[in-house]
Amino acid sequence: MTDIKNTLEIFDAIETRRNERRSFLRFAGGSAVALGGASLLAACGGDDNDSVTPAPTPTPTPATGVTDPDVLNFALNLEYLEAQFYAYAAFGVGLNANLLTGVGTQGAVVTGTGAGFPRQVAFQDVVVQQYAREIAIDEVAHVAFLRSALGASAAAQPAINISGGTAAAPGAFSLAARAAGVVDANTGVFDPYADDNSFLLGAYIFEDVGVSAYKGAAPLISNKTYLEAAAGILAAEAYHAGLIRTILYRKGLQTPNPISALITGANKISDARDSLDGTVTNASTGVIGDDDQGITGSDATISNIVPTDANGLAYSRSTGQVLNIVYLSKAAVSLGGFFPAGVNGSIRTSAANA
Amino acid sequence: MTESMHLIEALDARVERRSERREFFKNALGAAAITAAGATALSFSSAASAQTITDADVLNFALNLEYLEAQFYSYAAYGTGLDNSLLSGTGQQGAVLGGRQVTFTDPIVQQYAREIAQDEIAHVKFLRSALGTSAVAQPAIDVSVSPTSAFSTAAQAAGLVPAGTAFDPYFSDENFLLGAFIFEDVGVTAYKGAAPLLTSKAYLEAAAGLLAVEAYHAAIVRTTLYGKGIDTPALRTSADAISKARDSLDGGGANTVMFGAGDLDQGISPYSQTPTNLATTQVAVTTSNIVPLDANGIAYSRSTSQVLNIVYLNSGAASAGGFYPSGMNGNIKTSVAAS
Repeated sequence: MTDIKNTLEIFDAIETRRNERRSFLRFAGGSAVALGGASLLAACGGDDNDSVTPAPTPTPTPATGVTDPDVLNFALNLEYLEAQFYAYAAFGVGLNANLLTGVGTQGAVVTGTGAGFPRQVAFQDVVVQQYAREIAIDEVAHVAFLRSALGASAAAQPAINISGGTAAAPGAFSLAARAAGVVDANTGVFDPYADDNSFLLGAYIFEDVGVSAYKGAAPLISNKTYLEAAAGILAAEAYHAGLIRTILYRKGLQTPNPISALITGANKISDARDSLDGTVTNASTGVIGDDDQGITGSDATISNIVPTDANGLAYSRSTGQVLNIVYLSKAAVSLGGFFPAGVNGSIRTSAANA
Repeated sequence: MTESMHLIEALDARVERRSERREFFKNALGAAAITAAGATALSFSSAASAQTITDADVLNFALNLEYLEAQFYSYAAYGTGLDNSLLSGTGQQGAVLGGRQVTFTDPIVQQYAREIAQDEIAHVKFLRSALGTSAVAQPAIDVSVSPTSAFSTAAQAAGLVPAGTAFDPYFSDENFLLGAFIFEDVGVTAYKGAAPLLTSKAYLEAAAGLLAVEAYHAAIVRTTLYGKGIDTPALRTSADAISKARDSLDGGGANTVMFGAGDLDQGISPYSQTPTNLATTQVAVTTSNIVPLDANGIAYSRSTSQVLNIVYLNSGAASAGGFYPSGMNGNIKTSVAAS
């Protein structure tokens, strides 16, 4: 009985999230022109509980207002971010210019010279360097794949900040680390390119978010071929996350000289993500806002490499929640953090969790 | 141009797999009608027919795989199998030929074993609750140790041990990791291949959640083998050999060329590749291969038949064998000859 109840709760939660998506997309559609020219407001009119003015003359649009290209473009924005970070960390350069063009305002990766700016990590552990290269090549392949799938609909790369910056002018990584308490809240600088361990913690910020993003987006995709491809990228992100979490855990506990700061840092980042992405009750645990876990759990004799709910499933995030994290804001905003000018495409506003 | 061709190839491959599924279901189901799913709190796809896969069929296929993994990890981590209350259901319930608790020397590997065991047991419980009275019983499962056990057969095929010799995945950390390696990537490809078969969005999201966790698990095992492989190179080459053996079972030839025909599986050993699509021309560099992906950075799919080729340890048409001495339970249980 309990188990069936849990399953029904999951379905309820999924339904709630779907309605929430429809609701927020009504507001997100504001000034953006949806593909095909129809406004999102018209698309979503009459399908929620909020009291609103009646929709203008209805136009025929998909019931949810979210198309497959919308979802793939949302993913593409995230892949731009990851690919640029790993490309700089592993190889010292960003993506080729011909991989950045497309629909929307094209932006650049914020760059600069010296400490705090994107550059090749001086790896001390050859294995960590090999991992960085492997992941970078995967993420660049994801960008190329999504762009080819989207063709002329592919979003351009928006402005991206993957810097640590300086104390006076903190980059997105420093802002994230300050919010997590990994560095001083007001003056701290976190430079993910400084060394192996900084790189690993920087990578940790992204990977689980990618997994939860693809998992949350899967039910939004209609085309079976795209769905299978999205599942394949979901799996890749989960492999990456598993790799990073496994390395952080082992280095954190290694003897001699365990680097406990890697474990506490990862756990703090996880908590920070939980605090950004809101208070939706976790359907399985009943815990409010619990959709992220650090690499240690309550039992010191069991690792927590895999963040799972009580059913052993990975977590989902809505697109709004993913944007809360990458914009580094609890509020409903359209830009910030790693995307100083926001993402490109019609899915661009974070959830209102403030 | 190249990327479009990849997409077209992916589409073609899907069409092929869809035809293959129709073909094998004609053979597998024969005249047996699929009984309507028992009354449960949840409804499944209607219109079950002799040639249609239902969501329940897919979830039961997954449940069979989860029984196998959960039993192995439960023995490895705790020295005991699954609780009896988790084994009943439709079809012929079988017994587990079990193992024993691993003799761990690395406490972190022991922690991983416990964590993965907990996850896999949770998966069994979740799928059983989702399926309700439609859940299949656990079929006969072999995770035992003997010269003719499933693990030994697989290890012999991979060249890890000589013919007629037992492979004991409970003997040591390393053997445990190699035993685990046999399963995890297969689970990933199985869920990826099955995801498009599901019609319910809720089940699809759940399957995505299971897929992700299997990939996390596979990464734990592959990363640990890779790291320990610095001092013990045989761990990397053994993993590579298991990967080749899987590729030999599921059709298209052995894995001799990355991204080549029939390559659904990759070992972990480092190799040289030249990064492309970057702002400046790059030179070849050595990278790890923790993550088995195609040229688009996408994980591989296996059809249910291909998964069965591997777990039955038989590249031919079969309804039983290997880790499932009496075959799986449920409607998806027969492989076709891998081509």
